[in-house]
Amino acid sequence: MIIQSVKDPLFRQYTGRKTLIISLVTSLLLIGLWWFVTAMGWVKPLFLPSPGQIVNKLGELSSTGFANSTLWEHAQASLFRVFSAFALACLTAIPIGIFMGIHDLVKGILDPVIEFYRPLPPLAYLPLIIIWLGIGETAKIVLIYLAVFAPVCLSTRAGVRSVAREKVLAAATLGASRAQIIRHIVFPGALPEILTGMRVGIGFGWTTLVAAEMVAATAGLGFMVLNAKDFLATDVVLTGIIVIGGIAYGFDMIMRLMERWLVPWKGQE
Amino acid sequence: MSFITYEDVSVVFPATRKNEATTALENISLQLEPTELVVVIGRSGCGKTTLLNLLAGFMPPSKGRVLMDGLPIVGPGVERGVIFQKNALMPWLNVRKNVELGLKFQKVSAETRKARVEECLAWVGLEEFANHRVYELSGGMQQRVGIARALSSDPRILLMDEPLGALDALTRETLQELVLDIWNKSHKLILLITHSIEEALFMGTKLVVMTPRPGRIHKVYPLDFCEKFIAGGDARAIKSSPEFIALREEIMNVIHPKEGGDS
Repeated sequence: MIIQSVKDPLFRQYTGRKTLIISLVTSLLLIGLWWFVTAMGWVKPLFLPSPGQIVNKLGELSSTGFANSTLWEHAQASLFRVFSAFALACLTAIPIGIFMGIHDLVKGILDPVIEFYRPLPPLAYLPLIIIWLGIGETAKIVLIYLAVFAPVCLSTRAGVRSVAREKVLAAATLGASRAQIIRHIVFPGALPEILTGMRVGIGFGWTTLVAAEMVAATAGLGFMVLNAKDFLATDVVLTGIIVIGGIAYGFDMIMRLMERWLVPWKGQE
Repeated sequence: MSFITYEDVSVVFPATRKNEATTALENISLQLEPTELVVVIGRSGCGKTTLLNLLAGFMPPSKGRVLMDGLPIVGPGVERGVIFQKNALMPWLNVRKNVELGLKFQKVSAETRKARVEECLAWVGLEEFANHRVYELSGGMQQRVGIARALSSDPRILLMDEPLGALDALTRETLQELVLDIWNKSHKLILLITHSIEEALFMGTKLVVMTPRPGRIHKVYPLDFCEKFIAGGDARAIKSSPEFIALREEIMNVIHPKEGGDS
């Protein structure tokens, strides 16, 4: 029996399971390649430690630690900084983004400020923040906060603008006040894009973490990596990178699950 | 005094960087009475939606006034329910909560809300679908939700902006009959915008034919086909009667003149 097949003009699509297997195989191949070049002695451990060394280091860092703190204590310090900055950013950026979306006065005032600092690398304004806020915890959180704020705020604004005019008008004809429209129509309508902004924002947060921990930190994953570099402890550097990457990836997964749970209608209209 | 009066209304959209100023409506005068089913028809760009938006309170006229009971319209209001062509349902709420939304805004008690929502859902035949997500419903059922939601506030006027425009022919006919049923039982003023001549003739008690550039009222026809249907007439027989076809051709010639038209 001949089964008719039709080629999609654009997409080459597989089942979800097949795609997952492809991803797993490539990941394993990369690790295998890493193991192979180190096992063959092609690269010195100073430049690239072997996977086995990293696993051992992970255990060692967890129990005895590095630079006076265990891996968990470093991770805790970093998690605290990233999440308090993230929480503060969401609490401020979402309302501000909503008002930027519905009021041209707010937009006019804040747009140049945000658009000016947003493309700046955090390292460029880090010195200024240190001069203003010192080298304590506040400066670190503020640096991460600023990195998270812009994407959350701008996507909230974009989300507000994308809410269909008909929805707002329909609510108005149903007797909604302006506050009710904002609370019951604009916020849920913008939620898909707000969540996207939060996902991008938390990513920027992790990106900025190392910069934030460059100055006068005594614990933190970024600090651990930078400190290890001074001792040419490549295995600690690599372990730190993998831990940061793992946590950031894990949180991205959580955000995706939240999207599926909170905005199941996304893309359905 | 008429219930609704358009008093020499003009609407001019100011020039933008891309477009010149356009006159959407020019010197419109029109009276609507409480139990009429007024259908407005015309080609795209004739200002029929603008005519509805003025009465809904979505925009002000550039000149003239739109009055309800002698008072100018100053914004949207619960006594004027609107049914949109699309995008107006809240996908984060299920069918029941969409219908309930207006009553919540108006701070109606939970008990009254529940009864009222059941009543409205029954009216449009969606009792079974109360807990469905709106984006999982067909286009026709989504419009039923929109109608039920507009009815929930018990408005004096229903404004319908091509609500059936995106539906297939069969669903469309079913919904036309539903709207007629609602109109017949509720005796509300309905203002229906459409670009289907057949729909306009079949449904209206008054037909407003508009011509574009600038949007003007060409002629207002009194109609009685819908009353024949409500009295028990067969929809298909009415639509193929000689009077219906003659009028359809007459209006077709106004809206789509055979010569000199750019289709």
